[in-house]
Amino acid sequence: MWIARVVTLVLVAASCNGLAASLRVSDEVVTAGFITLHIERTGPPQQQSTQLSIQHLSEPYSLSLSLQPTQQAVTISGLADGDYLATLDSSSANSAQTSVSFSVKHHQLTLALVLFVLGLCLFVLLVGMIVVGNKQAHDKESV
Amino acid sequence: MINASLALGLALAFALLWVFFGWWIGRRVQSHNEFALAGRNVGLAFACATAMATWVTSNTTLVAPQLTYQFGIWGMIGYACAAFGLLLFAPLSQRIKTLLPHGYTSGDFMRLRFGRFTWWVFLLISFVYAMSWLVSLGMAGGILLHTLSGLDYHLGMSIILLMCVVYTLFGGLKAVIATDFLQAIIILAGVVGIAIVVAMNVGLEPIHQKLSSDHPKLLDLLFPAAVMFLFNNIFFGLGEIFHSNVWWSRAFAFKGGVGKKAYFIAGLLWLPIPIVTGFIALAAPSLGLYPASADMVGPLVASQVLGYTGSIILFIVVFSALASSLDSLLAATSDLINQDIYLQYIKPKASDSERLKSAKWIIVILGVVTWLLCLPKIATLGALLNFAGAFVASTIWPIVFGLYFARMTGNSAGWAMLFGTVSGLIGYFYIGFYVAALVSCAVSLLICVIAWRFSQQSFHWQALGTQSKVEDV
Repeated sequence: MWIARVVTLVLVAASCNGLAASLRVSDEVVTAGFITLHIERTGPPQQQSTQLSIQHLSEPYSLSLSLQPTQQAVTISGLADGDYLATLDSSSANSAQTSVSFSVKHHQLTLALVLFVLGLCLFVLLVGMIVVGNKQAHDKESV
Repeated sequence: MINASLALGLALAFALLWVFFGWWIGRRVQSHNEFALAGRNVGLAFACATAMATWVTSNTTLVAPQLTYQFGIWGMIGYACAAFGLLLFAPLSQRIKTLLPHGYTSGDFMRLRFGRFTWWVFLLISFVYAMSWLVSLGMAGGILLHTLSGLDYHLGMSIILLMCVVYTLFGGLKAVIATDFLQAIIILAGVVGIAIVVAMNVGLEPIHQKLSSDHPKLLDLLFPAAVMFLFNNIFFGLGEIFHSNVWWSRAFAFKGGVGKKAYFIAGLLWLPIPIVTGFIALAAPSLGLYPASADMVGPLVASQVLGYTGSIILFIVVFSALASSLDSLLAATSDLINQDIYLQYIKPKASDSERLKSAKWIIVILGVVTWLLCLPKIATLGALLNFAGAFVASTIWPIVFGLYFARMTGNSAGWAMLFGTVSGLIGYFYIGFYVAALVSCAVSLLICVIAWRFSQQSFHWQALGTQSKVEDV
């Protein structure tokens, strides 16, 4: 894992020269599998689209997408656990690469299931109380 | 994408249409009772349409795709489960009408049933929710116009707010319900049309393949945040409907015996809509579409798949959905402030015409405050709405205990709402927006059960009807 982090840092450092755009994440660790990457563009507006690639640092996962020239952010969702490297690669010859790393660490499934069961119990209880309450009220009105 | 001038033209044309219709419906409205509760004489067809159309809002048209994009299958199913709010409010609406035949607002019930402390806590929660919803609707109008046409966010937001304020001013709840009826027809026809076109253009197989390879968690039934979100969204929806004067004022306005049927039918009609609107978000990755913000995914995909004409249809559908909720919320919140603040503290002996006048002024003030809060786009729609979830879910149990169980009395209902809300907010900030309502609801139940178990008093139901009649006179 530490090798992946070192590689990430080297890539980020190497990409800092002659930037036409830079990437930024608001949270470096996300717990719900979705992340918004902000693209901060400098210099004159570009006409061509920008390529963004996202790579898992320890598994064979790679996502490549094309962004509009004016797009200033992109939201990616449904990512599995792991460390990722996002690389922005403008098709313009004058532009350099820029990268940012982030981690996806989902909540513990145990916590999720506890909350799910809690929700289910509360819901069943609520429906039961409304049915019973309604029946009792109806019986009293009939009397 | 449609061009900005066409979008502006459409928005203005619809604004004029609804304002004219509101004026035409409201031209004979003379009394406050007619303005606030449509004469308490709304029949089944209008009742179903207004309940369904009001619940189809930015939640369904923009936030359902957003949450499906973020939470996948569970997001879509969880959103559809918000229909339980309408379905379970059906029996409650009948009980409300029986207990408070002369009532005006949900605040009336809280004050007469639990006393002033609980009433104040409830009002605070109601205003936080009403403002969150109003701001999210205003923001949704701006986001919609901007995504579909590139029109400035502030201009789009201002047009939709101004339109709803003006036609609600003309006709009150009567105009709101009548416009809701037409808007419901537009929404249903539009959503069915969009679903058919999307199903014909994007196959299920490519969507499944793309999601499996690139966004695996969206199809994972054990996706932790999404598992947490499911019941959270159900309780958020329940809290929204159970406490909000939008739904209570309709329960008072519907003819006797209509409320239960109307809310039940509306719930069934509403149920498939988030499935349809959510589904289109799942198609985004296979179309190569990745939105800047998750709440833009619905319009982005629809405009791509449906083309130019489709964008216009989508624009009309979402514009109608937003208007149908905004007007309802303006009217209901104005009633709540008029009845619970103006009449209780400012002018208790106000005449009917003074009440009518103050109701209209409150609508204008609400419109201006909402506009000011919408100016800075402070959060995504989903996050903004779910912040309010911590507040509204705390009201579910106090309302159910209050309506059916006489041993629940006094300030304990207020404490249940207060502690529920605080716990929900802690969950919101420490875990995520997808647990706020669930935590709030659980803590509120705990306090209600303790209070109910140890209560020595019993409430006399007749007091509600008698007292509300005295206040109405």
